[in-house]
Amino acid sequence: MIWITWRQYRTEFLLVVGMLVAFAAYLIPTGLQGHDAFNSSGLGSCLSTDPFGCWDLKEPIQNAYDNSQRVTTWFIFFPGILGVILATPIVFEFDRRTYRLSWTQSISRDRWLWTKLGIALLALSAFAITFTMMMTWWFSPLDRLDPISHHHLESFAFKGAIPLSYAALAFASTLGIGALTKRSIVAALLGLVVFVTAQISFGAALRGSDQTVVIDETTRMVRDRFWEFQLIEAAIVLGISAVFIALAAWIVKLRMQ
Amino acid sequence: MSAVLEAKNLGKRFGAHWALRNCTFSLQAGQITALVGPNGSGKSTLLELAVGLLSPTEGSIEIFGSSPLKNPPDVLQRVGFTAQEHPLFGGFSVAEMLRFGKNLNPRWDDEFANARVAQLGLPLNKKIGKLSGGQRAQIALILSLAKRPDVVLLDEPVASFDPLARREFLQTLMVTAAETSASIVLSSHTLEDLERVCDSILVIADGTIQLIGEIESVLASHRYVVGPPEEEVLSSIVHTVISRSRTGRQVATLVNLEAPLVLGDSWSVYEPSLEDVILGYLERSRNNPIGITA
Repeated sequence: MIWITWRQYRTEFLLVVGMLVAFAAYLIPTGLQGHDAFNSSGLGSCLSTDPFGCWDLKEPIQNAYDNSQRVTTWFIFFPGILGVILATPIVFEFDRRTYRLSWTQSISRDRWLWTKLGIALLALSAFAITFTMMMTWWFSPLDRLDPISHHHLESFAFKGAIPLSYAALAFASTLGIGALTKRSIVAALLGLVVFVTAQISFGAALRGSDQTVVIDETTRMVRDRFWEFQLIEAAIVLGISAVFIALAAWIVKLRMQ
Repeated sequence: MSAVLEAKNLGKRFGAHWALRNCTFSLQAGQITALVGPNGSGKSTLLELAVGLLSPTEGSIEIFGSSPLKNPPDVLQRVGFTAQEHPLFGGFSVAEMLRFGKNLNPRWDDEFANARVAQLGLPLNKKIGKLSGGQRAQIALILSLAKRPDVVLLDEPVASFDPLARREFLQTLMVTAAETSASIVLSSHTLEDLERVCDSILVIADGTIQLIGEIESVLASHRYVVGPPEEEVLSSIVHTVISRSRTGRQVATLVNLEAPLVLGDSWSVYEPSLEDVILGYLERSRNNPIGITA
């Protein structure tokens, strides 16, 4: 079953790796520029002594990021696309009706479902964490300007638990809708709609309040609140994902009989 | 010895529509049974209920005395099932498709599978999606048979074949059945070639079983009686009239004999072909949609 799952996922895994390599090809040179700008600006030592006396030094760093941030904004869609891509091999089994082959071998549907889910979610986590690490590194010079410049809101959705939880949401909703409709295109499109809707509505509802905090509070408080906001948002998004997974499991186990 | 397949008052409803109802029958081991009926009569529903892809709305169906829903792996390893349109993974190569079977089935016979693939001249590294419909059907059959099942259930295995391919496919099926002593149930909406291959027949129409029995005894117990229309009152108290048709000044009546025929000189009696009998029952179910279990 593990080999079969790997074999069925091979193309999707390669596709995601290809995307991450393309991201790296853009993020590494532009990120290095950003890091160089930060290191040569002398901001490091300035921030540690008198943060609010460093305003003049941040200019070259912001310049280094101005153009590339217009590109990396679009990377926000990656967790959604990742989730949809990793859900489709399972949805294909409903759409192409090959579940009639898979479920009539000598294994239970439970084993079939949980092996596939386990491997898919493991891969999803690995890809999402790789993406998060790349973005965190890329944003780190900007984030270190914290006390004197407010980029937290821009980098928030690329860091911590957010990419992983939204990738899980896109995965779970595509899977649940796919099990329900048995249509892979419908499932993929609605999975993306769920992802975008959640990003926009939670972005407004949860991170909206973050902005005022970032502006008003001190550096240490912002860092503390950062993880608080991260974990609240991630918990909500993962909770909704779990509902979609439960829906898919229920359909596989009971309704599709 | 428990029955290979045993249904008790089996019924399946989709929304408001009963796809299958009041099905009670049992199939004994070692037989090749043709499951015959028009499209949409409930054949696929019956087979999918048998392997637990569907669950009954009422009644029950068991394979070797156990439910496919309660003990899926135990039951399924004894069953070789090929669904309609023989679903396979189009992106897999032939070799990978066999590896799929090997990984998921403890009784898998790798030697048999590879020998059959070689015998058919199917290239191991060719993608399933690039094979012809007939070749895909052969691969699906190999996947079912290499499980070394005690019963093989095939849903419309020859539906998309030309007559020659159909005959070849059925022949290989017969040979395998003889080699492995597995029981076989195959559904078909066409009657061609089935008589030569099968021992038993199960006719289904309108979601109900119309006729079940060994082909020999079915043929022995049915007769065409042809005579003048004015004497149409053929003793239907003694014999069950299955269908009637007028041809010119004669009426042909298909009857299920329950006693020796006693007829006047104006009548002649013919032995019907299996096709005649089946069509008679299908006609009856169409005229009388409630259906009677024969």
